[in-house]
Amino acid sequence: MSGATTWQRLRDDAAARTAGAVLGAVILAALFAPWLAPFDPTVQPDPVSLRLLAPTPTHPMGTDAFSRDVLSRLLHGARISLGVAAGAMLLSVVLGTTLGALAAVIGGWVDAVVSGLVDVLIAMPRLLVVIALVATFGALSPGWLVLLIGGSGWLTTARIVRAEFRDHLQRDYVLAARALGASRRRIIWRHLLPAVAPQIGVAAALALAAVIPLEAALSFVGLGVQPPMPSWGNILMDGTDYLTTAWWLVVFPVTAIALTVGAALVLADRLRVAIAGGERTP
Amino acid sequence: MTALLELRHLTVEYAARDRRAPAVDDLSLAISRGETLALVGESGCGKTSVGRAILRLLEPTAGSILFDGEDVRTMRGDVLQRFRRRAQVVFQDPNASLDPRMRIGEIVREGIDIHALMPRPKAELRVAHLLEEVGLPASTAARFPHECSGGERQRIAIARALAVEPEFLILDEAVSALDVLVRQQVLQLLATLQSRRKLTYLFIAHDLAVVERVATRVAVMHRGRLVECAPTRQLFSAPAADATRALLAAIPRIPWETRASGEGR
Amino acid sequence: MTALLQVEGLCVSVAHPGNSDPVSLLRDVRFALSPGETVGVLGASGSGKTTLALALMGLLPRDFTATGAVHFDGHELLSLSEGARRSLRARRISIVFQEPLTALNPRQRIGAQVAEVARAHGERNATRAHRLAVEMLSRTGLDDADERAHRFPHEVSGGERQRALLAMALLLDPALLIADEPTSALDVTVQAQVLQLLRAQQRERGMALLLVSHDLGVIATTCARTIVLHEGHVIEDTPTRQLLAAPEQPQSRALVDAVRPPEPAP
Repeated sequence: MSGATTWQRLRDDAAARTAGAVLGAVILAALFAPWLAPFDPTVQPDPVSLRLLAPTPTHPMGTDAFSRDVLSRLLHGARISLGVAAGAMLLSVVLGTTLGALAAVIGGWVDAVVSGLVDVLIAMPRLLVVIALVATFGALSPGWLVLLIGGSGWLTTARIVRAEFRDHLQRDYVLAARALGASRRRIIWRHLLPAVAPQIGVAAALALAAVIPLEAALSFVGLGVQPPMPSWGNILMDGTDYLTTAWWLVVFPVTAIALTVGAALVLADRLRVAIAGGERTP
Repeated sequence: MTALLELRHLTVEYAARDRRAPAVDDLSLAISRGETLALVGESGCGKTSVGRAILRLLEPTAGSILFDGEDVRTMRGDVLQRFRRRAQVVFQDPNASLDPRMRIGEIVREGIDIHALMPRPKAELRVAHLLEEVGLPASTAARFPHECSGGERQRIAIARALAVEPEFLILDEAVSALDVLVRQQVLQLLATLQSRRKLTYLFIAHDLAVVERVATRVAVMHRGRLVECAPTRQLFSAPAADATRALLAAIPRIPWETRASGEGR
Repeated sequence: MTALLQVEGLCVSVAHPGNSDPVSLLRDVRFALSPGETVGVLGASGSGKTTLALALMGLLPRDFTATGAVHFDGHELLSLSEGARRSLRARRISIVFQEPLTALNPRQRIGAQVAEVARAHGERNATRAHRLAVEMLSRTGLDDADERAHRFPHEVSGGERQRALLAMALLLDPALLIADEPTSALDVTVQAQVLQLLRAQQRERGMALLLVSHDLGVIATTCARTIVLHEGHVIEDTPTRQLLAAPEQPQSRALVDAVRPPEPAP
């Protein structure tokens, strides 16, 4: 009854498929932004007569205060926002997985250091720490944003991976591999990582959901991606000045952020359900 | 009679919250080549810790484990890898002892791969032979553990252990989770393999009724200590220790011939 | 003698989403059980014995279909509403399962879980329900039941968990207890104690017992009659002594031989 793997169960889940499709569409839109965008996102064709136009067939999402096409800015902004988010997510997941795995497999002082670090850092509110750092060093390039956001986000992944690894290390199939003389490296790559991959997937989806609003928040308060380079956060920031007169400047970027974060959260949730489905006894 | 394995004053302690709890307490025992020594006791008596200490899956606190004259505890590098090929294990729960994400072929091949015993095409042929030797069709290699029954999985675990050509096999409650019919078939298989491959078995079990059919000698553990070790027949007819008598009493008394023997078994 | 339980032509099948044909798990099962009778259901794994236990309790998963008739205590169980069935469970018909760890709620104290049974069946007073639970726990042989009642399932041994499950099953004095492999997850020494407890409770209460097991050793020491299941069919229904002496079917003989000592008893 529990024959299917976690990934197969996820694929058979309608909600997960929808969330995956939304996320996929956003990623494709970001990748092909230069071809999809009808206008140059930074060009200001006529700051007087084309300023703050409501959505029309030519400008499906209207124009902003500098007469730039909002759709084109959102598409290009997706490249920056998703790029930073994906980079930061990848960094935090790789860092978290590596440190969590080493802590579990090596144990001893490595475990003590990693666990201690996690316990201390996890108590700090992430947004405040990031804002404090940015405030000290000034506004950051996307590359630094990735390092900063990613470097501060590995804690939960490390904790999950450490706990899961420790659990699997005690299971008979890992003991059998050790009795056969398997090296630590082999046990990690052949047995433990495939076993824990779904949980890492959940951590990654949650990290993505956390990182997109974080980048947006930083850009929103002017500490993240700097204009004229568009990101979802600074497009939203520009829009809030005209909240009462030009709704499209706020509604569309908010929708983009909400859809992407929502899809990531749904995916994380469905993956968790798929994992639990495999642990039920047949 | 030469001992293949000799345990001298083996002690295993677990660090419990505030004190050191001995799981195995000063245990000395020798296993001769070709015999089946059963190690029995209630759960928690330390018998599983003995098996794991022999395989270096846990670190004993004191004592020595001599395998063919060499101390397993001090083995390093190549010497340890050679020992890993000579001593293998089959665990109790075939659901837990096979990696659910690997195909049977990969599982059985793992030891061959680890020790780089032969190139891939030859290894696959070897896997097919091993599967047939344990009574499974070679086509099983393409399946996943969840597509096999409990008895098949235990045969697979045996094939995996045999792949590195061991001479010593620890059977850690290897038939306890199996249904009586399947248990009998697996015991039969183990007996065949033992005579064909000249294997030495350490048969860890909690059930004396199973042990009676397979063991040459029986060692009884109670609270980490060895309380009795005797040839099987003798242990059953004249148990010396209280723990042994308790285990014997736990065997269900099936009323075979009621008129002839009454209550006795 | 009127039967307490009468199973007639019971068929159970399950539809797998992939396959077009439903798979038959029980085919035309029929037997009867008198009040106070002890009957074993013997079968290898896959013979349908657990399906039978679940079908009698009305606990089959939703994708299972049961046809035929199960008369129990004046009711036809298969056509009974879920609510009516629920009121029979624990009060008139109870079950204990193989794995005492998963059958208990890990986040609830043992005493509270036993008391819950009383409360679900009308005991309003919490103190009284708790007292009843502790009393039952001590009757099922739990040492220091007062203290054990406050522990969580993972804080006691497997044997103690099985005793707690038995306390829940017996609390309301059912007419029939179904025990599905109650000792398969236990050590032999603990198994012997639990079986002894089961026998003592059965005698004391005069309740009927249906003991499901793959191990004739377990059944032979407890049940006067044995039903042998094979691939969903009842292939033998006979006094246990007779089964031991002369099994009629080859499949029964295999199950008997599996527990026979290696040589004639000395």
